[in-house]
Amino acid sequence: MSATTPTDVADGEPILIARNLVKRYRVRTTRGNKELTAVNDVSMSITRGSTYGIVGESGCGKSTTAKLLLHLEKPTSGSVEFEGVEISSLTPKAMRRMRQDIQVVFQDPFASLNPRMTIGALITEPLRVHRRGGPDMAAEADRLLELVGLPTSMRDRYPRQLSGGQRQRVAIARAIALRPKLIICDEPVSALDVSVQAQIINLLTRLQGELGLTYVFISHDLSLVRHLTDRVAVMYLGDVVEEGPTADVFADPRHPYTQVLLSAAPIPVPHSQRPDRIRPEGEIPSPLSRPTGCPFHPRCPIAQDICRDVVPELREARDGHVAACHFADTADVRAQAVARG
Amino acid sequence: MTNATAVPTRDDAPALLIEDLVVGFGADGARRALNSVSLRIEPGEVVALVGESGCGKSLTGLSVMGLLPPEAHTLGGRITVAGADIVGTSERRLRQHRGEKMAMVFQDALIALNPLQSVGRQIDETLRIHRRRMNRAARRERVLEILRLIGVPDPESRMTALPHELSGGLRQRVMIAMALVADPALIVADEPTTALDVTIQAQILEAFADATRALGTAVLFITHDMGVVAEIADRVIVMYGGRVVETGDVDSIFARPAHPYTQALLRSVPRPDTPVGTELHVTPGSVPSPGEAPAGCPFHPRCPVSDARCLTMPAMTSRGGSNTVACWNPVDGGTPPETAADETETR
Repeated sequence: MSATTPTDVADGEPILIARNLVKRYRVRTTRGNKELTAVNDVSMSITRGSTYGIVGESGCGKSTTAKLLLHLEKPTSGSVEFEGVEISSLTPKAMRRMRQDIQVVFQDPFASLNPRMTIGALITEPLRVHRRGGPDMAAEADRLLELVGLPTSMRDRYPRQLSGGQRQRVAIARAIALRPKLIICDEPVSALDVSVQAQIINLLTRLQGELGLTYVFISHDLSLVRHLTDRVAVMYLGDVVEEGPTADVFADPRHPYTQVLLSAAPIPVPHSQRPDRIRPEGEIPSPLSRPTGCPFHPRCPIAQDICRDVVPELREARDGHVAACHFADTADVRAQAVARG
Repeated sequence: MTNATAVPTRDDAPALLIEDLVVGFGADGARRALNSVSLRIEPGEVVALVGESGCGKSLTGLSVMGLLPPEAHTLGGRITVAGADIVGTSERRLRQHRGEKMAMVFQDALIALNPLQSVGRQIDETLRIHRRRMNRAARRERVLEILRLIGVPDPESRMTALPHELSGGLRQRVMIAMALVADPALIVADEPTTALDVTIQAQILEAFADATRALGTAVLFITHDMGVVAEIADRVIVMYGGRVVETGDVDSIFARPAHPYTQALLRSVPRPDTPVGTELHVTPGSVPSPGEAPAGCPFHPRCPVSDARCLTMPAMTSRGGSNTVACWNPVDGGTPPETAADETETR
C-alpha cells in the first residue's frame, strides 16, 4: 500500500508509537488467582501513511495490543503516543478528539452493526455522536456510501438485507466518517468468502490512497499481511519475536517461529511444486503458563540450553530488522530439518 | 432407484458415487440447493470439495452421511458408499453404515464430542456398535492403536480425559480417531482444520493424510481454502451455486483452471509470487444463497466471459484425463460443450 502514500507527508514520520506495552490480567483458577500476561513488553513505531501488520496465532496478544493502541484497555505499564502526545495524559475532552482520529474495523460485520438501524443512520452515527454532522445527513450518507462502493439506494436498508461483504463496507464507511488518520483493522476480511475478500482489500488500499490513511492490519493470514503491509511485527505468547520491513521478514525470516509459521501456512500451490514444510512441534502453550527463557523454546527445532534459561532480547539481525532469538543471525530451521533427515 | 443385487466388495466399488443428486429446501423442495450433482471417489482417493459459503459442499457431505436436516428434501439422484445405497435407505440401515462404511469429521470437535464422557469411551462406542464380537481388551487395543496412528502422544492417559481437558488440536485428533476406528471406506471431513491455528493445522493435516493413507481410506475433504486443497488433495471438485462446475487432478486445477469461477477463486488470494501491493483480482457481486442461484450457469451474473448461451446450463465436458468442466467459454480455450445439461426436472 506504500505506493499510494501521499507525497505531502514526511517520509518516516511516526504517527503512533507504543513503548514497552504490558498488559496483565488477574485470572481466577481452581488453584487460586493467577496472573495472565497477554502482552509482554511490546514496542512499535508506525509511520504515517503506511500499513503496519501484526501477525500471530491465537493467544499471541495481537488483539489485546489493538485494544491498547485504541486505549480501549489501559496498559499495566508502558505508553502509547499518538502524534507526539501521550494518550494516557489526555483530558477527557482531548480524548474525545483523539478518538475521532483513530478508528477501528472489526472482523465480524454481523456482530458490529446494530440490526435495528438503517445503513444511512449507521454510517452517520459517528458524526452525530461527535456533533460533527452538517445540516444534510442524507447527503453525507450518500457521499460515504459512494466512497466505499455501495449504491446510495442502500441508505434505507437494514444490515440483515446486506451480504457479508456489503456489511463490511458499511463498517468501513462508519470508520472513515470522521475522517480519521489511523484505522486499526482487526481481521477485517477473515469472516468473508475469498471472492469477496479481494473486494474489501482493494477498497482498503484505494481509501488509503484517497484519504491518506495509516493502517494497523491485524491478521493471522500471512499471504494478506505479505501483500498489504510495509512493516510487520510477528507476535508469539504476548511478545514481539520479530519485526521489520515486510519484504525482508518474509524473504529472510530470522526467528525460528517466523520460519515455522511461514512454512506451515497453506499456500495455493500443489504439494508437488513446493518444498516440504517444516513440521512445527508441540502445541501453543497457554499464556497462563509461559515457558521460562525464550517463550518459543519448547517448540523450537533449534533450541539450545541457553534458550531455556535466558530470555532473548530483540536485537538487530539484519538492517532495520530485529528478532528475539539467541541465534537470530544464523537461525535456519529448514537446514536443521534437512540435516536431521 | 435400482438396488444392486450383489453387494460389491470394497475393492471394486467406488468409495463414493453420487449420480444426479437433487436437494431442495421448503415444503416441496422448490428452493434448489443441489442441482444434479454427480461425483465419484475411488477407494483410497483424497478428493477436495471446494467452494464458498452456500455453494452446497456441506449439504453434499451431509447427503452422503444420510444426515440432511429435516427441512431439506432429496428430490432425486442416487448415492452409494462402497456399494451401499444411501438415498431412500431406512434410518436403521443408515445407522449401520455410519461408522462402518462412512464416517464424518466436523469442524468443531467441542460441539461434536460428548462433554461428559471420556474420549476413550467415545471412540470405543463405534466399536461396541459395529464390532460386536470384539471383547473389551481387543477394543481397548484397537482404540490405542488408532490414537497412536493419528499421533496422540501418551494415548493411555489421554483416553480417560474429558474433551474439555484436551487442547483444540488433540480434540480434533480424537474426532479423526473416532471416525477411523471401525475402518470405514470413506471419511467425509467438513472443514476439519478451519478453526485451528496455522501451526496446529499443519500438524493435523499431516496426521490426517498419513493415517488415511495407511488405512487406505477414501476422503471427501470439504474446504473453502485453496491452500488446504493444494496441501491434501489428489483430485479437486469445484462447486458453485449448488452445482459441480469443474473437476480435475490437483496439479491441473491449479495450473490450468478451466472454469472462470475456479480461476476467480485462485486469483482472488495473493500467492507468494503475486507482486506486493498490486490490486487483487476482484469478482463482482456476492455468492448466491442456497436456493437462490440464478437459472442457467449459476456463475453467469458474476462471470467476466458470460454470453447469451450461459442462460442454459452447459453439460459437463471432458478436458482429457479425469478433468471435466461445465462452461460454454472455458478459460483455456478448450472445446466448449456441444450440448446443454439434461435438465430433467425431478420434482
